[in-house]
Amino acid sequence: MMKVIERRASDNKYLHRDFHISMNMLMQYICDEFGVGALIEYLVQFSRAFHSQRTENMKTDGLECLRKYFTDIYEKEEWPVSIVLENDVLTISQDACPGIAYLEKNGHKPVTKYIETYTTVYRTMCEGTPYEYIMEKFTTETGACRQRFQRRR
Amino acid sequence: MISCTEFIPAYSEGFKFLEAKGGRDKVNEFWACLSDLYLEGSLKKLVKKHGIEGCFIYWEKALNEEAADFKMTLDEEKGEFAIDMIKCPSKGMLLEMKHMEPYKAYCEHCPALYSRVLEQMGYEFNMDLSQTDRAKCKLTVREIRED
Repeated sequence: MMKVIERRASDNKYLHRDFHISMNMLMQYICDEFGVGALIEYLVQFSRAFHSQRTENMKTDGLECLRKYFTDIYEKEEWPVSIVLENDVLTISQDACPGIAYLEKNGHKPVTKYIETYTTVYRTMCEGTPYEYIMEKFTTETGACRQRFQRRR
Repeated sequence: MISCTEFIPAYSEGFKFLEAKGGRDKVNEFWACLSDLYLEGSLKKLVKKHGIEGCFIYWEKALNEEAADFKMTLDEEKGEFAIDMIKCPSKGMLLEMKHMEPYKAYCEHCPALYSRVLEQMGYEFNMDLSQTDRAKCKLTVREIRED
């Protein structure tokens, strides 16, 4: 039997949730080989590289650029979230984390320090800006959390 | 959070990080580990069950979800499977991100992951990575037949 498929990028939505599994495996590997400190080091490196433009934008445009960014990634993930920007404070609340939920659903154990994909990544993103990042509460099992970006005090 | 839509730059930085920590051998070691862990329950399982058609089933799902630009062909009579990647979504994304430098051997993770599984199962695996600077590549899998 002969089968042929041809697709253009525009034929599909970009959403390959299995990447949550590969990401978790990468983080677990770093922890196993080099320890938790190395995982944090890696996440700092990633955040400085990946979020560098957002860090610059925060210096000039404030938190509006982050509101847009978070709205966009949660829409792409098709994940319910509350994102409120009020009085120069951005609050993000979720009942579960899309990554943790997908890992659990597929029988994978999230890396122990999964929280660092939030805290380390976003604290690093705020480096050199007038803003700080605060994780108010985080439930390890589900990733339910409330996060805040606000002016440094 | 690192969204699954942000995985590619995170993966690329991960390879750089591993190389800085333990040299290229460490990157290869991670790819072998990922191949064993991640492809065991997906590609390997499908090929075990469906033969070379398992490749078609595996990549049909993955490449559609990754919104790739591709042509995929399965010729069961000849025992051949091929992907002509017209624009790889991963490498394409890295090339478009001007503020980040992709890991220099980023595309090599593909043959490293897939050949390990398929060659162990008795298939010949080849990848042409000569045009990855344009996010293009070609993957072929052939059944090794005795006649």
